[in-house]
Amino acid sequence: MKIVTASVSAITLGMIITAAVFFSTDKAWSDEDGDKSAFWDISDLKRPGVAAVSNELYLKECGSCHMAYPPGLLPEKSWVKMMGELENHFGENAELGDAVRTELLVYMLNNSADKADYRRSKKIMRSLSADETVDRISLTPYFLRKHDEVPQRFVADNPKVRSFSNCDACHLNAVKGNFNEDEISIPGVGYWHD
Amino acid sequence: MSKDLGNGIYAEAIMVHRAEIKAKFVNRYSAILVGGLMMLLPACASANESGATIDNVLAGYQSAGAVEFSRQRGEALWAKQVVGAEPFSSRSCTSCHGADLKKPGQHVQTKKTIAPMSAAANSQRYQTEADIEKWFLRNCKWTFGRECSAQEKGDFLTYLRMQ
Repeated sequence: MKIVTASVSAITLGMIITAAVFFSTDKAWSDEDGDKSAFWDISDLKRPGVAAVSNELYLKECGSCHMAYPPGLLPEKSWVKMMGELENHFGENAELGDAVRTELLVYMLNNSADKADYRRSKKIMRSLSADETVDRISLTPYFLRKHDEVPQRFVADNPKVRSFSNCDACHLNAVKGNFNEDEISIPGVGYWHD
Repeated sequence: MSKDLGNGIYAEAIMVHRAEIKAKFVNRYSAILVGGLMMLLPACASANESGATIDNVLAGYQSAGAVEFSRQRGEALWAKQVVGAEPFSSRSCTSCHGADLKKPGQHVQTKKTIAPMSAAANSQRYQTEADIEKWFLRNCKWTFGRECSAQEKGDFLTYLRMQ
Protein backbone atom coordinates (compact mmCIF):
# COMPACT_ATOMS: atom_id res chain seq x y z
CA MET A 1 0.00 0.00 0.00
CA LYS A 2 2.79 2.36 0.92
CA ILE A 3 4.59 1.62 -2.31
CA VAL A 4 1.45 2.35 -4.32
CA THR A 5 0.91 5.68 -2.50
CA ALA A 6 4.54 6.62 -2.96
CA SER A 7 4.53 5.85 -6.67
CA VAL A 8 1.25 7.74 -7.17
CA SER A 9 2.81 10.72 -5.37
CA ALA A 10 5.92 10.47 -7.52
CA ILE A 11 3.85 10.35 -10.71
CA THR A 12 1.74 13.31 -9.58
CA LEU A 13 4.84 15.31 -8.71
CA GLY A 14 6.35 14.43 -12.06
CA MET A 15 3.21 15.59 -13.87
CA ILE A 16 3.18 18.87 -11.96
CA ILE A 17 6.81 19.59 -12.80
CA THR A 18 6.30 18.66 -16.46
CA ALA A 19 3.20 20.87 -16.67
CA ALA A 20 5.02 23.76 -14.99
CA VAL A 21 7.94 23.56 -17.40
CA PHE A 22 5.64 23.10 -20.39
CA PHE A 23 3.43 26.07 -19.57
CA SER A 24 6.24 28.38 -18.62
CA THR A 25 8.37 27.66 -21.69
CA ASP A 26 5.29 27.85 -23.90
CA LYS A 27 4.55 31.31 -22.54
CA ALA A 28 8.16 32.39 -22.93
CA TRP A 29 8.04 31.57 -26.64
CA SER A 30 4.58 32.91 -27.34
CA ASP A 31 4.68 36.18 -25.43
CA GLU A 32 4.73 39.40 -27.39
CA ASP A 33 6.89 42.48 -27.60
CA GLY A 34 9.96 40.88 -26.11
CA ASP A 35 8.11 40.34 -22.88
CA LYS A 36 9.85 37.02 -22.47
CA SER A 37 10.21 35.73 -19.00
CA ALA A 38 12.34 32.93 -17.76
CA PHE A 39 10.76 29.52 -17.26
CA TRP A 40 11.17 29.82 -13.49
CA ASP A 41 9.07 33.03 -13.41
CA ILE A 42 5.97 31.76 -11.63
CA SER A 43 3.94 34.76 -12.82
CA ASP A 44 3.61 32.91 -16.12
CA LEU A 45 1.58 30.28 -14.35
CA LYS A 46 -1.04 32.89 -13.52
CA ARG A 47 -4.09 33.09 -15.68
CA PRO A 48 -3.50 35.17 -18.81
CA GLY A 49 -5.10 38.55 -19.51
CA VAL A 50 -7.12 40.16 -16.75
CA ALA A 51 -10.28 39.00 -14.98
CA ALA A 52 -13.44 39.79 -16.93
CA VAL A 53 -15.96 41.99 -15.13
CA SER A 54 -18.33 39.79 -13.14
CA ASN A 55 -20.41 42.35 -11.27
CA GLU A 56 -23.78 43.36 -12.71
CA LEU A 57 -23.94 46.67 -10.85
CA TYR A 58 -20.46 47.58 -12.12
CA LEU A 59 -21.43 46.68 -15.68
CA LYS A 60 -24.57 48.83 -15.45
CA GLU A 61 -23.13 51.88 -13.70
CA CYS A 62 -19.74 52.11 -15.41
CA GLY A 63 -20.77 50.50 -18.68
CA SER A 64 -23.55 53.00 -19.40
CA CYS A 65 -20.95 55.59 -20.45
CA HIS A 66 -17.86 53.61 -21.45
CA MET A 67 -16.49 50.10 -21.49
CA ALA A 68 -16.67 48.74 -17.93
CA TYR A 69 -12.90 48.46 -17.51
CA PRO A 70 -11.86 45.34 -15.63
CA PRO A 71 -10.69 46.45 -12.15
CA GLY A 72 -7.57 44.32 -12.65
CA LEU A 73 -6.20 47.01 -14.96
CA LEU A 74 -5.38 49.50 -12.16
CA PRO A 75 -4.21 49.21 -8.57
CA GLU A 76 -6.38 49.85 -5.53
CA LYS A 77 -5.06 53.37 -4.89
CA SER A 78 -5.98 54.49 -8.41
CA TRP A 79 -9.53 53.22 -8.05
CA VAL A 80 -9.91 54.81 -4.61
CA LYS A 81 -8.77 58.17 -6.02
CA MET A 82 -11.05 57.90 -9.04
CA MET A 83 -14.12 57.00 -6.99
CA GLY A 84 -13.45 60.05 -4.81
CA GLU A 85 -13.45 62.39 -7.81
CA LEU A 86 -16.57 61.31 -9.68
CA GLU A 87 -17.90 64.86 -9.77
CA ASN A 88 -15.10 65.57 -12.25
CA HIS A 89 -14.54 62.26 -13.99
CA PHE A 90 -12.24 63.22 -16.87
CA GLY A 91 -14.39 66.29 -17.55
CA GLU A 92 -17.74 64.57 -16.94
CA ASN A 93 -19.94 64.50 -13.90
CA ALA A 94 -20.30 60.85 -12.94
CA GLU A 95 -21.57 61.26 -9.37
CA LEU A 96 -23.17 58.30 -7.65
CA GLY A 97 -25.12 57.87 -4.45
CA ASP A 98 -23.03 56.70 -1.50
CA ALA A 99 -24.57 53.21 -1.34
CA VAL A 100 -23.90 52.44 -5.00
CA ARG A 101 -20.46 54.03 -4.91
CA THR A 102 -19.44 51.99 -1.88
CA GLU A 103 -20.70 48.74 -3.38
CA LEU A 104 -18.78 49.41 -6.61
CA LEU A 105 -15.62 50.39 -4.74
CA VAL A 106 -15.69 47.18 -2.71
CA TYR A 107 -15.90 45.16 -5.90
CA MET A 108 -13.11 47.22 -7.48
CA LEU A 109 -10.84 46.84 -4.45
CA ASN A 110 -11.40 43.09 -4.29
CA ASN A 111 -10.36 42.78 -7.93
CA SER A 112 -7.75 45.51 -8.38
CA ALA A 113 -4.48 44.81 -10.18
CA ASP A 114 -2.51 44.50 -6.95
CA LYS A 115 -4.68 41.55 -5.89
CA ALA A 116 -5.60 39.93 -9.19
CA ASP A 117 -3.98 36.61 -9.99
CA TYR A 118 -3.77 37.38 -13.69
CA ARG A 119 -0.69 37.81 -15.82
CA ARG A 120 -1.45 41.23 -17.30
CA SER A 121 -2.49 42.61 -13.91
CA LYS A 122 0.88 41.50 -12.55
CA LYS A 123 2.69 43.15 -15.45
CA ILE A 124 0.79 46.41 -14.95
CA MET A 125 1.72 46.35 -11.27
CA ARG A 126 5.37 45.68 -12.02
CA SER A 127 5.46 48.66 -14.38
CA LEU A 128 4.15 51.14 -11.80
CA SER A 129 6.29 53.02 -9.33
CA ALA A 130 5.18 52.85 -5.72
CA ASP A 131 5.07 56.59 -5.11
CA GLU A 132 2.64 57.72 -7.79
CA THR A 133 -1.08 57.19 -8.29
CA VAL A 134 -1.84 56.84 -11.98
CA ASP A 135 -5.24 58.20 -13.04
CA ARG A 136 -5.77 56.29 -16.24
CA ILE A 137 -5.15 52.75 -17.45
CA SER A 138 -3.73 54.31 -20.63
CA LEU A 139 -1.08 56.13 -18.56
CA THR A 140 0.41 53.06 -16.91
CA PRO A 141 3.95 52.40 -18.17
CA TYR A 142 2.91 48.89 -19.22
CA PHE A 143 0.08 50.27 -21.37
CA LEU A 144 2.30 52.95 -22.89
CA ARG A 145 4.99 50.41 -23.77
CA LYS A 146 2.47 48.07 -25.35
CA HIS A 147 0.99 50.83 -27.50
CA ASP A 148 4.08 52.86 -28.39
CA GLU A 149 4.18 51.51 -31.94
CA VAL A 150 0.54 52.35 -32.69
CA PRO A 151 0.42 55.36 -35.02
CA GLN A 152 -1.89 58.29 -34.32
CA ARG A 153 -3.91 57.66 -37.47
CA PHE A 154 -5.05 54.30 -36.05
CA VAL A 155 -6.46 55.80 -32.84
CA ALA A 156 -6.77 59.56 -32.21
CA ASP A 157 -7.30 60.38 -35.90
CA ASN A 158 -9.46 57.33 -36.51
CA PRO A 159 -13.14 58.35 -36.15
CA LYS A 160 -14.08 54.76 -35.26
CA VAL A 161 -11.58 54.63 -32.40
CA ARG A 162 -10.81 58.24 -31.31
CA SER A 163 -9.14 57.37 -28.05
CA PHE A 164 -7.08 54.70 -26.31
CA SER A 165 -9.94 54.69 -23.78
CA ASN A 166 -12.03 52.68 -26.22
CA CYS A 167 -10.24 49.36 -25.64
CA ASP A 168 -12.95 47.33 -27.30
CA ALA A 169 -12.81 49.36 -30.51
CA CYS A 170 -9.75 47.28 -31.45
CA HIS A 171 -9.38 44.55 -28.82
CA LEU A 172 -12.09 42.19 -29.98
CA ASN A 173 -12.27 40.30 -26.70
CA ALA A 174 -11.54 43.15 -24.28
CA VAL A 175 -14.78 42.59 -22.40
CA LYS A 176 -13.61 39.03 -21.69
CA GLY A 177 -10.35 40.40 -20.31
CA ASN A 178 -8.36 39.21 -23.33
CA PHE A 179 -5.92 41.66 -24.88
CA ASN A 180 -3.80 39.28 -26.95
CA GLU A 181 -2.16 40.56 -30.11
CA ASP A 182 -3.94 38.02 -32.27
CA GLU A 183 -7.29 39.32 -31.05
CA ILE A 184 -6.88 42.87 -32.36
CA SER A 185 -8.63 44.38 -35.37
CA ILE A 186 -8.30 48.13 -35.88
CA PRO A 187 -11.38 49.63 -37.58
CA GLY A 188 -10.53 50.73 -41.11
CA VAL A 189 -7.09 49.14 -40.83
CA GLY A 190 -7.60 45.45 -40.16
CA TYR A 191 -5.88 42.84 -38.09
CA TRP A 192 -2.86 44.05 -36.23
CA HIS A 193 0.49 42.41 -36.70
CA ASP A 194 3.48 43.50 -34.73
CA MET B 1 -3.46 53.11 2.70
CA SER B 2 -5.89 54.23 5.36
CA LYS B 3 -4.03 57.32 6.57
CA ASP B 4 -5.05 59.74 3.84
CA LEU B 5 -8.35 58.06 3.15
CA GLY B 6 -9.55 57.40 6.64
CA ASN B 7 -12.85 59.18 6.63
CA GLY B 8 -16.40 58.98 5.38
CA ILE B 9 -17.23 56.70 2.52
CA TYR B 10 -13.66 55.41 2.15
CA ALA B 11 -13.34 54.36 5.74
CA GLU B 12 -16.58 52.50 5.31
CA ALA B 13 -15.53 50.99 2.00
CA ILE B 14 -12.17 49.95 3.35
CA MET B 15 -13.75 48.35 6.43
CA VAL B 16 -16.13 46.41 4.24
CA HIS B 17 -13.23 45.52 1.97
CA ARG B 18 -11.12 44.11 4.80
CA ALA B 19 -14.02 42.15 6.21
CA GLU B 20 -14.63 40.70 2.77
CA ILE B 21 -11.04 39.64 2.30
CA LYS B 22 -11.38 37.60 5.49
CA ALA B 23 -14.47 35.92 4.15
CA LYS B 24 -13.54 35.76 0.50
CA PHE B 25 -15.51 32.63 -0.30
CA VAL B 26 -18.62 33.90 1.46
CA ASN B 27 -18.19 37.11 -0.50
CA ARG B 28 -18.00 35.27 -3.79
CA TYR B 29 -21.30 33.56 -3.18
CA SER B 30 -22.96 36.73 -1.93
CA ALA B 31 -21.65 38.61 -4.97
CA ILE B 32 -23.32 36.03 -7.18
CA LEU B 33 -26.52 36.40 -5.15
CA VAL B 34 -26.46 40.22 -5.29
CA GLY B 35 -25.62 40.07 -8.99
CA GLY B 36 -28.54 37.75 -9.55
CA LEU B 37 -30.93 40.05 -7.70
CA MET B 38 -29.63 43.04 -9.68
CA MET B 39 -30.40 41.16 -12.87
CA LEU B 40 -33.92 40.44 -11.71
CA LEU B 41 -34.76 44.05 -10.82
CA PRO B 42 -34.85 45.52 -14.34
CA ALA B 43 -36.77 42.45 -15.52
CA CYS B 44 -39.52 43.26 -13.02
CA ALA B 45 -39.95 46.75 -14.42
CA SER B 46 -41.67 47.04 -17.77
CA ALA B 47 -42.03 49.81 -20.29
CA ASN B 48 -45.55 50.45 -19.05
CA GLU B 49 -44.19 51.37 -15.68
CA SER B 50 -42.27 54.42 -16.88
CA GLY B 51 -45.48 56.45 -16.60
CA ALA B 52 -46.09 55.24 -13.03
CA THR B 53 -42.47 55.94 -12.11
CA ILE B 54 -42.69 59.48 -13.47
CA ASP B 55 -45.98 60.02 -11.60
CA ASN B 56 -44.31 59.00 -8.36
CA VAL B 57 -41.30 61.23 -8.97
CA LEU B 58 -43.54 64.22 -9.80
CA ALA B 59 -45.57 63.64 -6.63
CA GLY B 60 -42.32 63.72 -4.69
CA TYR B 61 -41.35 67.06 -6.26
CA GLN B 62 -44.75 68.50 -5.30
CA SER B 63 -44.24 67.38 -1.72
CA ALA B 64 -40.91 69.20 -1.91
CA GLY B 65 -42.72 72.43 -2.77
CA ALA B 66 -43.04 72.45 -6.55
CA VAL B 67 -46.14 74.07 -8.03
CA GLU B 68 -47.95 72.94 -11.18
CA PHE B 69 -45.54 71.61 -13.78
CA SER B 70 -45.22 73.18 -17.20
CA ARG B 71 -44.35 71.41 -20.41
CA GLN B 72 -43.41 74.77 -21.98
CA ARG B 73 -40.99 75.67 -19.18
CA GLY B 74 -39.48 72.20 -19.47
CA GLU B 75 -39.03 72.56 -23.20
CA ALA B 76 -37.45 76.00 -22.88
CA LEU B 77 -35.04 74.82 -20.20
CA TRP B 78 -34.17 71.76 -22.29
CA ALA B 79 -33.11 74.00 -25.20
CA LYS B 80 -31.48 76.72 -23.09
CA GLN B 81 -27.89 77.45 -24.09
CA VAL B 82 -25.58 77.86 -21.13
CA VAL B 83 -22.06 79.26 -20.99
CA GLY B 84 -19.75 76.56 -19.68
CA ALA B 85 -16.10 75.70 -19.46
CA GLU B 86 -14.06 75.02 -22.59
CA PRO B 87 -14.08 73.07 -24.81
CA PHE B 88 -17.89 73.08 -24.58
CA SER B 89 -18.35 76.78 -23.94
CA SER B 90 -21.95 76.72 -25.15
CA ARG B 91 -23.84 73.74 -23.84
CA SER B 92 -27.40 72.53 -23.40
CA CYS B 93 -29.28 69.28 -22.93
CA THR B 94 -29.31 68.98 -26.70
CA SER B 95 -25.48 69.01 -26.83
CA CYS B 96 -25.65 65.28 -26.13
CA HIS B 97 -29.31 64.31 -26.51
CA GLY B 98 -29.78 65.93 -29.92
CA ALA B 99 -32.71 67.90 -31.28
CA ASP B 100 -35.05 64.96 -31.98
CA LEU B 101 -35.82 63.15 -28.75
CA LYS B 102 -37.18 60.13 -30.60
CA LYS B 103 -33.74 59.58 -32.10
CA PRO B 104 -30.50 58.60 -30.41
CA GLY B 105 -28.18 61.35 -29.27
CA GLN B 106 -24.41 61.42 -29.28
CA HIS B 107 -22.22 62.31 -26.32
CA VAL B 108 -20.43 65.55 -27.13
CA GLN B 109 -17.10 64.37 -25.69
CA THR B 110 -16.96 60.61 -26.16
CA LYS B 111 -19.21 60.46 -29.26
CA LYS B 112 -20.93 57.48 -27.69
CA THR B 113 -24.50 56.90 -28.82
CA ILE B 114 -27.12 57.84 -26.22
CA ALA B 115 -30.45 56.02 -26.43
CA PRO B 116 -33.49 58.21 -27.23
CA MET B 117 -35.06 60.22 -24.39
CA SER B 118 -38.58 59.52 -25.64
CA ALA B 119 -40.25 56.74 -23.63
CA ALA B 120 -42.25 55.88 -26.75
CA ALA B 121 -39.02 55.29 -28.67
CA ASN B 122 -37.05 53.78 -25.82
CA SER B 123 -38.76 51.45 -23.36
CA GLN B 124 -35.75 51.50 -21.02
CA ARG B 125 -36.26 55.17 -20.08
CA TYR B 126 -37.71 56.35 -16.74
CA GLN B 127 -37.78 52.89 -15.19
CA THR B 128 -36.53 53.75 -11.72
CA GLU B 129 -36.56 56.81 -9.53
CA ALA B 130 -32.89 56.21 -8.67
CA ASP B 131 -31.81 56.37 -12.30
CA ILE B 132 -33.90 59.49 -12.99
CA GLU B 133 -32.33 61.28 -10.02
CA LYS B 134 -28.82 60.06 -10.85
CA TRP B 135 -28.95 61.55 -14.33
CA PHE B 136 -30.64 64.79 -13.18
CA LEU B 137 -27.86 65.27 -10.65
CA ARG B 138 -25.02 64.61 -13.11
CA ASN B 139 -26.44 66.36 -16.10
CA CYS B 140 -27.83 69.46 -14.37
CA LYS B 141 -24.41 69.97 -12.80
CA TRP B 142 -22.57 69.45 -16.09
CA THR B 143 -24.93 71.57 -18.17
CA PHE B 144 -26.04 74.32 -15.77
CA GLY B 145 -23.21 74.14 -13.25
CA ARG B 146 -25.68 73.47 -10.43
CA GLU B 147 -28.33 71.02 -9.32
CA CYS B 148 -31.82 71.51 -10.71
CA SER B 149 -34.70 72.39 -8.42
CA ALA B 150 -37.68 70.10 -7.87
CA GLN B 151 -39.72 72.52 -10.00
CA GLU B 152 -37.23 72.36 -12.89
CA LYS B 153 -36.96 68.59 -12.78
CA GLY B 154 -40.75 68.30 -12.76
CA ASP B 155 -41.00 70.63 -15.75
CA PHE B 156 -38.37 68.57 -17.58
CA LEU B 157 -40.21 65.30 -16.95
CA THR B 158 -43.54 66.82 -17.92
CA TYR B 159 -42.00 67.86 -21.24
CA LEU B 160 -40.02 64.66 -21.81
CA ARG B 161 -42.86 62.24 -21.09
CA MET B 162 -44.88 63.75 -23.93
CA GLN B 163 -42.18 63.13 -26.52
